Amino acid sequence: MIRIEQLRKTYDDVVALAGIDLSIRKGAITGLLGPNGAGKTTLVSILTGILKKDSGRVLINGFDLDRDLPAIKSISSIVPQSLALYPSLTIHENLEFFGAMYGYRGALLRERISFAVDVTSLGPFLTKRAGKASGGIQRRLNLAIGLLNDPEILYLDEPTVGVDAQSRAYILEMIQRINRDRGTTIIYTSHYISEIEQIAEDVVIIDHGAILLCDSMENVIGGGSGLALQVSAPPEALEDFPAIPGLTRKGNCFHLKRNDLFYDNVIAIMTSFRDRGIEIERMQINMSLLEDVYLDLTQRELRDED
Amino acid sequence: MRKIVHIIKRELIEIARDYQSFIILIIMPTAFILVMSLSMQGLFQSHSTFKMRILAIDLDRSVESRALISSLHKADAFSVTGAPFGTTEEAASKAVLEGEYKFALILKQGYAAYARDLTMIPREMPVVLFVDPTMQVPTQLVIKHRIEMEMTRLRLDAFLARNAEMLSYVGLDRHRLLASVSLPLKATYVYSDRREAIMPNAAQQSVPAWIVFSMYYIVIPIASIFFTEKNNGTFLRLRSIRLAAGQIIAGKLITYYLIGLIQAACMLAVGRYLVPLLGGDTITFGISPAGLFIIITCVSINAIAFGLLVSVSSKSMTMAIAFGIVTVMILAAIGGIMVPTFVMPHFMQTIAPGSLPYWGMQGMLDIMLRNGTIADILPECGILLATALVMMACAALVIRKKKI
Repeated sequence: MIRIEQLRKTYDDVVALAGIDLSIRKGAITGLLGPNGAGKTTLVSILTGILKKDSGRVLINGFDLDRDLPAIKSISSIVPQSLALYPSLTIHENLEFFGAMYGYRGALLRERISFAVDVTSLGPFLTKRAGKASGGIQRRLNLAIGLLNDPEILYLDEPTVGVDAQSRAYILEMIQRINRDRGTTIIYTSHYISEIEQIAEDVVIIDHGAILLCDSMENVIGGGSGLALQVSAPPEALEDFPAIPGLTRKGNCFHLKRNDLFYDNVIAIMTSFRDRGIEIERMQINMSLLEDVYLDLTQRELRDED
Repeated sequence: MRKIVHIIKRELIEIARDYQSFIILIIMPTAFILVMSLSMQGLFQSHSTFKMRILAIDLDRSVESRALISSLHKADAFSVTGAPFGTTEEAASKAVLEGEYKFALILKQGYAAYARDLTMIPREMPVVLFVDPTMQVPTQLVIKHRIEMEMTRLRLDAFLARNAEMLSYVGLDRHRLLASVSLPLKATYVYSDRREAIMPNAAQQSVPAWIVFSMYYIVIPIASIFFTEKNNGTFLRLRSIRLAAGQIIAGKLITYYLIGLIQAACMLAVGRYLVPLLGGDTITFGISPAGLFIIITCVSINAIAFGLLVSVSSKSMTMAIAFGIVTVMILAAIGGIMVPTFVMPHFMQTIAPGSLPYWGMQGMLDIMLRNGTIADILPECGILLATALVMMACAALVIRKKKI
């Protein structure tokens, strides 16, 4: 768990973080959203020990940032937005170099490389020069380097920027797998709000150095999002209604959750209605989008950085 | 230490695989040394095999004028071409203007009378020298003085011939007298080890200076790698790992130092082995290999510190490289690398020691030209290392202030 209390950081006269309080759940994927210059990078830089805070207290998995920075560095890893790798080195050489920088050597280094390669499926490309690999492979290498120390906390800054749809889907799936299989806490920063919506369990919205929102995705986009159906039918027709993923019922009202709003599920519901002689009185699709929440909170004017 | 070794290994792999870096770091400096050594041979040499072509126009057509032209023709420094009969001063002027000849010597009518009479002070000199204004002043002076010397010798000879009987009467031999006033001055080269005088050659005089000059261009790869790592996030990534900033910097400094040594070795090898193959003079490394290694080490460290300070102080890679290149050129010019300090005005000579390459060049000359030992280069090494420390401290302050 990451606990932040009254964290403050200024650059000369500019307040980057205005004494924020924040808690991030251990083992969750937390989406960190904010316009350009909102304070996201400053926050992540402080949490990873790259920047020094002015004041406040930060506890990361029980370690105090002021006292236990080496321990914090050893359990966390950052994957920057830019491709932080060496283009003239092969993919394996990049992993070997950064692994050595983490202090691994010999069998342990080979094991760590093997782990990162397995997770990111970079096996077939190990001898390829990083600079000559495709954008998607470079992104995966960027991520693989961040996995070398098997971090408890992984900071991902726009990890899918500049890649095609297939690579993006693959990377998102990979991130979810890392989180699920290893219980890694993931702080995910992206301008693609749909990505955050897709993979994050919690969401933090930051602007002007202040936390505007910190809640679960469920609460933010509303549990009511999805397909609402009001039906007329005799009570016995509604009993023993087949279980369909994401479908709940209260009296004559059915609700199919947004995340389960798939064609197959809708067809299954409609077929059951027809078989049981149930008539639909009212049908409504409720879509509360994270993007709307985000824009409402951060205002809609352009945020061009100075 | 293991991490530093990995950083060095990675940096060397990167440079080895980047042909552009390889060209900038190794090929260009050695090519530079080659070109400069061959093309500037004449600048330092008084004993050059190169002969300056002079067009001679004999309008006097006397025994004396022919004697002067013949005498000049025999001189080592000249190759005198006699102009065909009827060639005018205007034609000579045109030949110089068009670059056909750098000098044109016109012996006007009345030269014979001037040559015969040592006491004659003509209203207008019967000898004129046309000079291409692009000629370097020291070369002009050498040519002018040599012509004046030949004229004086011939006039003296004529005077002595005319007064031979009188000289004989007082017991003086005319030829002996002439020979005694024409004795050349012997130059004795002063070396630290007091060994027999060996005439320094052009490569020996110029190569050390150009090696120092080239080594300061390490600013280009330093700035390039610094900004690339800063912009692509690898610097940030390394800092987020449990890696001390000192380890990152040490790894880089050692790499650049190794590159500096390789650069110097390549340039010395070119001066020693390749330049003579192409007709230039070879160089010797002096009598103290350890001294040579130490002064190269000090120059390399100083150049790296300079490159680091320029890189961290600049806002962009383009600015760092442009500023670095121009600054190195200015420092080299001030320090006597491009123009020897002894031909500079007094003020420029006074400020020359303010240039970092000046001390490197002096140290290299101490070892390679004056046959000095480690003791002789201690002052230069001290200054180079002290200024390197100051520049590194400034770079560290800038890094801290700019939060790089």
